[in-house]
Amino acid sequence: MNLDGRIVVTGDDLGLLKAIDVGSGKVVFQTSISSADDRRRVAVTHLSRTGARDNIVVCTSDGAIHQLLNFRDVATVPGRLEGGTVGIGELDEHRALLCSPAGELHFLQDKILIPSSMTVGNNIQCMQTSQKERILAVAGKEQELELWDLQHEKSTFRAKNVASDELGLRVPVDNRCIAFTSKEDTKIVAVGTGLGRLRLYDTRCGQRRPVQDLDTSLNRRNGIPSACTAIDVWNRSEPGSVVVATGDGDLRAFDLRSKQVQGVFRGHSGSIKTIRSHQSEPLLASGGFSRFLLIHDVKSRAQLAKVYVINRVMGVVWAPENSGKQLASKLPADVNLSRGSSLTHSQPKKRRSESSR
Amino acid sequence: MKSVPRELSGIRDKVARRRVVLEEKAVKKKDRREARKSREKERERLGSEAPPKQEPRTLENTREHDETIVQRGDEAVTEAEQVDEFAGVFGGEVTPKILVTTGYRATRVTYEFLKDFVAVIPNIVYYKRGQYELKKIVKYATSKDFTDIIVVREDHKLLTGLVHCHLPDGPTAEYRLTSYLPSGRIRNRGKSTSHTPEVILNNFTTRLGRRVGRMIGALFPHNPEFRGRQAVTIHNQRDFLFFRFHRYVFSEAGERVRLQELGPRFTLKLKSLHGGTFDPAGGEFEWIQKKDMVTSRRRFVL
Repeated sequence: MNLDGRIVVTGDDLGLLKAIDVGSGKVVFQTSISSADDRRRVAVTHLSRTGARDNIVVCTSDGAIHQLLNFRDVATVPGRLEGGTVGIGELDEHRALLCSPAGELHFLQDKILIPSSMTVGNNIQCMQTSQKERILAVAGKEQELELWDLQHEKSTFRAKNVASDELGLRVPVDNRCIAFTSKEDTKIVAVGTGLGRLRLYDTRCGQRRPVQDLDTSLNRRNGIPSACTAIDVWNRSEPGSVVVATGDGDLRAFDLRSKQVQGVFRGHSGSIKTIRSHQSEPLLASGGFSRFLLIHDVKSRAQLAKVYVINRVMGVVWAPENSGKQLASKLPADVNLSRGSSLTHSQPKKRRSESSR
Repeated sequence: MKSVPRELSGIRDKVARRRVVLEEKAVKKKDRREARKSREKERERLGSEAPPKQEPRTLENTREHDETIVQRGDEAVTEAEQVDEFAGVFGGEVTPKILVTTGYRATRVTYEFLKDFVAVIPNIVYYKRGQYELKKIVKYATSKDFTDIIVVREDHKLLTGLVHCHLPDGPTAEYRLTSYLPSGRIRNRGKSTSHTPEVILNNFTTRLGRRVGRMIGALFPHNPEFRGRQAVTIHNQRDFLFFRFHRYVFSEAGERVRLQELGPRFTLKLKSLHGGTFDPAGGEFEWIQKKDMVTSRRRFVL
């Protein structure tokens, strides 16, 4: 697949934002975010595009929200979320939703942060919004999955913990990542836990416990599972397919109906912090602690690009389609282009296919 | 492989056979020596036109290109290291304080190792393990202002590994520990003193390598007592870390240096590095040994 002109924006753990042309492997734009009080770097925690415009919302670990406007300036939004942000929910062209670990919601409207009267629980670790239905899903440590109707400000679904294990011990609750399995509706929600379980909740059937509880840690070392760090679904997949990333660098495609691993996206050697599928093409961008940005073809799971980003990748977002040309034309003369890294095309080594369980 | 000459296999007497082998070896050696001499003469004769000397290709000098190898003067890396977890120790502001303990039910092999280990590392305190979980030990040590925890693991009366957890917020490294030679068994060893040693970190090239090197280097206070002339070396070669402890002395003119080995000798191999304190299940790994990442013998991670 031709990746020319496709731009991915990465945020790293030293507050650097880089726009990378994944076709050539070069960094075409770079800027940095410092904390307000001193020049020390803050880690980027989340990135998101809001609407059709070229603005990218950036959350940093100190709770501040910034916007990268048209690949030129970084504007800091006044206000701060206590404890940082758990995620960025895209609502519509003008608004995004932010949630703090204490469950305080804020709307980001244009360049203003508006606190909401809603609080959605405590110890939140992950969130996801549905644009169509104005639904917010949150979950966290000892905080079960809960779906909130944003219009009416009430809870519509609250999950229940799984049954105790074979020894009769209560299973601790540590939800790390959420995704709605279809971008169209919010009926089935996938949640990944800190102990490597992938759970599916069906809000239609009245069952509060997960309808499926899958183990994502196939390569167990000494029986120790690894945390699920991110889940993503892509638009044009066969329904019921998710990609799950784990804390030890595995990126797997799961077929939820057959409960089996469809395949593995190879290349990461460290925890994968963020995965993002392209809005229209079957491309998957992923990045994490191994300091590489990887682009895979969603269908063949071939690695299409691997770019060294120097620092740990904390957030990744696909820039709009025409960004490549825009960046080329708009680039101010004094922008310091960092050294681009060479593109390494690597074909996945032929292996025995992962045996299905 | 050359086949055994017929005469040799016909000699049934081992002593006589051995004598023939040694004679042949001596002849071969002589031939080689003469060939080398004539090659050197040829080089001298050609002077500047001599062809370049051939160097054997090794795994190290044919190492595959790795983008994560840090180039000299890389500002991004310097900046990142100025704010990492070990910056305090490397800047001399923080003095390391280490808690060392064993796995559950340790035996004599671990205690023997610990005796040597505790003698090398300054500012180290040994605690009996008891039945305490490592996560609880982490909490305790953090409250007592320790900067690092080291756990020595063994299995079936053999040393197997080392867990190194930096406090208060990690990272945590797990190593395989092999080839341990106690101080007492080192030939012509010297006796170490309590001077703070100098630390030499050799050959840590990649981003991950530098991080691991800094993590181990942060076990030592960064104010070495040069008077003691003692140096700890952690040398990385092919992802194996060799720990050595020497005393050095310069000759009168200062041109040559002689070494005397002091302390224990052991080898470490990184198995995994994850952020945060000890949490192999829920932790987010910066690097973990994986079969599908081992693509070539000429590729190293440190």
